[in-house]
Amino acid sequence: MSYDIEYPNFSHSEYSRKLAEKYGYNDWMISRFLKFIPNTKLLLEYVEKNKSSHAEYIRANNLKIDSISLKKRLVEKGYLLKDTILKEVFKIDMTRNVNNPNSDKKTNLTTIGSTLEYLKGYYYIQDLSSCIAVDELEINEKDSTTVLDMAASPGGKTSFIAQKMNNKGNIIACEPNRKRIPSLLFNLSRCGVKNTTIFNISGEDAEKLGIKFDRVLLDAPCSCEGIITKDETRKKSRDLKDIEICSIKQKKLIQSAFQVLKPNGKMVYCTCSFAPEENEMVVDELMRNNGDNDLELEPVKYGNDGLTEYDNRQFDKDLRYTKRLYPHIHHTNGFFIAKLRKKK
Amino acid sequence: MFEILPPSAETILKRAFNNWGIFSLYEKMDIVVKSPKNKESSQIEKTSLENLLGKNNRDLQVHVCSNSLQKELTIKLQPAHSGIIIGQIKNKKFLPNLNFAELVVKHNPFLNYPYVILEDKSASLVIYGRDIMGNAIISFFKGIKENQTVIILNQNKDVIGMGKSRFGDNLITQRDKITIDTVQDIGTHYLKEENKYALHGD
Ligand SMILES: C[S@@+](CC[C@H](N)C(=O)[O-])C[C@H]1O[C@@H](n2cnc3c(N)ncnc32)[C@H](O)[C@@H]1O
Repeated sequence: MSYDIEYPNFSHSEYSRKLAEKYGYNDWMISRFLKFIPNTKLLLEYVEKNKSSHAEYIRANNLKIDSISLKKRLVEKGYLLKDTILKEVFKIDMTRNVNNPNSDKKTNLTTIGSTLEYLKGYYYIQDLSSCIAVDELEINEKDSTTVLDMAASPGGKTSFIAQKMNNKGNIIACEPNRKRIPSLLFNLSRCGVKNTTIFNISGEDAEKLGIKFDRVLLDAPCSCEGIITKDETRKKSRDLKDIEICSIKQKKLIQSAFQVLKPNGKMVYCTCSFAPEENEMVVDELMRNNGDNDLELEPVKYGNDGLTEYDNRQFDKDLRYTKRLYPHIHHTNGFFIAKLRKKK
Repeated sequence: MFEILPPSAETILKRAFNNWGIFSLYEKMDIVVKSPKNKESSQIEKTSLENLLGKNNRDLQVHVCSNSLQKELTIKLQPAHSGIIIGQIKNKKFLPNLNFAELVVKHNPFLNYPYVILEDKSASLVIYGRDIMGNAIISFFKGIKENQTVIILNQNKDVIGMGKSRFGDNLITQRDKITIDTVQDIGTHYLKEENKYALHGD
């Protein structure tokens, strides 16, 4: 089978070696990517092209300012903001100035992480993919909702959840790594979040709190393959063992998350990894362990459909409702989102 | 350890809310207090907060919860953190922080509290801790006294810091003299914490 016009008549392994060599990756990573990432070569090219100026998104923090006022203030400072599929989220083009949108010259705008508006917590620098995951929790400000954010630090998604709840109801945030709690606290305080209670515990112990939740977000600790545009070290720093370790942990966490969900409650499971072992396989295992009567997957709105098979393994057909986001297709981090509802 | 507000702390807080012109807000708030040092609090678990405030004079962090359920959970489950911190009670005094200042600015629209508004250049320096020269102040609360806590605003009326006045009344605008010491600002804390752990713009 030929994989590419550049390398006609190459076998899978030869082709993957060539790509790995050319773009500086571990061969095993590319070999895997070729099996499930559409147009892998385009992804690798995209990463190269965008490594110093990857797409940057900000999420207006409506607990402190409305989206329109924020946009106006930043545009006045010269930033070029584009709307996205979410009303709270803007794409920022740091290479262009609002006064000169067609020039390709680098602008001398201060980085988006050091404006007064940032320090004030008027926005959070947050990838569109992360915001979509929170949006899929379908939180309605009017209900008094109890939400578990099972792996919370540094609090990007927690603060968006708080915003969706308009600081009402209750968020319980778990973070077992003590060293990561100050950044969580700092971000929540900067964003004016009031309705969150933080526990320095593993998500697996959330059950011990004795609370049942209307919504659970499991933004699982993962191999972070999906952020290669932002962190080039990911091209080589991980091995298959890391993915395996993450997968084992994720399967335990998702089961604990499901356990504390109220009947009719909804859970979003997400990772910033491409690996099926950390994504579809984790959700598939939860479905196998709990059965059709207990849960159902609900369609996530945005992205490419999740895999229903990988490496000679068939997954539940409803895994097509999960979504995969790719840098070269969706201009986001590589990301996976699954949404499910507990039936009883 | 998190506890409900002891009566003596309540009196201190009520007075502070009153002084800053937001007394009506106080009644609506679900407040808990925490002794900031965990180790100490575990050693003194059996000592009531009244004692802490009185004899031992230890600091208390003041946290505002969103609702009574959160307050109950906080006291029952003793988490690592809860709600939003609005200041500390130290030596029988309430020391407000920037979150408290935001409450004041939001709920007291008539600027009926000690404040100064700065011109842009000075405002951009105050954000990172610079003290304030008299000539940078373009408007201020007419009743400012010497050695008073003041809220520092930019021209958009964003809270950018809190300071201590060195002078009272019009002397606050003396030229070429530092007239307000910046005590808290929105940038210094950020520099310390700057994305220490934020790996991937989550
Ligand atoms: C992908 S990050 C979360 C990012 C965060 N949700 C945000 O949006 O800012 C994963 C987090 O899970 C934490 N973690 C690791 N093991 C965990 C466990 N057993 N239970 C809960 N969280 C865990 C990590 O310390 C890390 O902070």
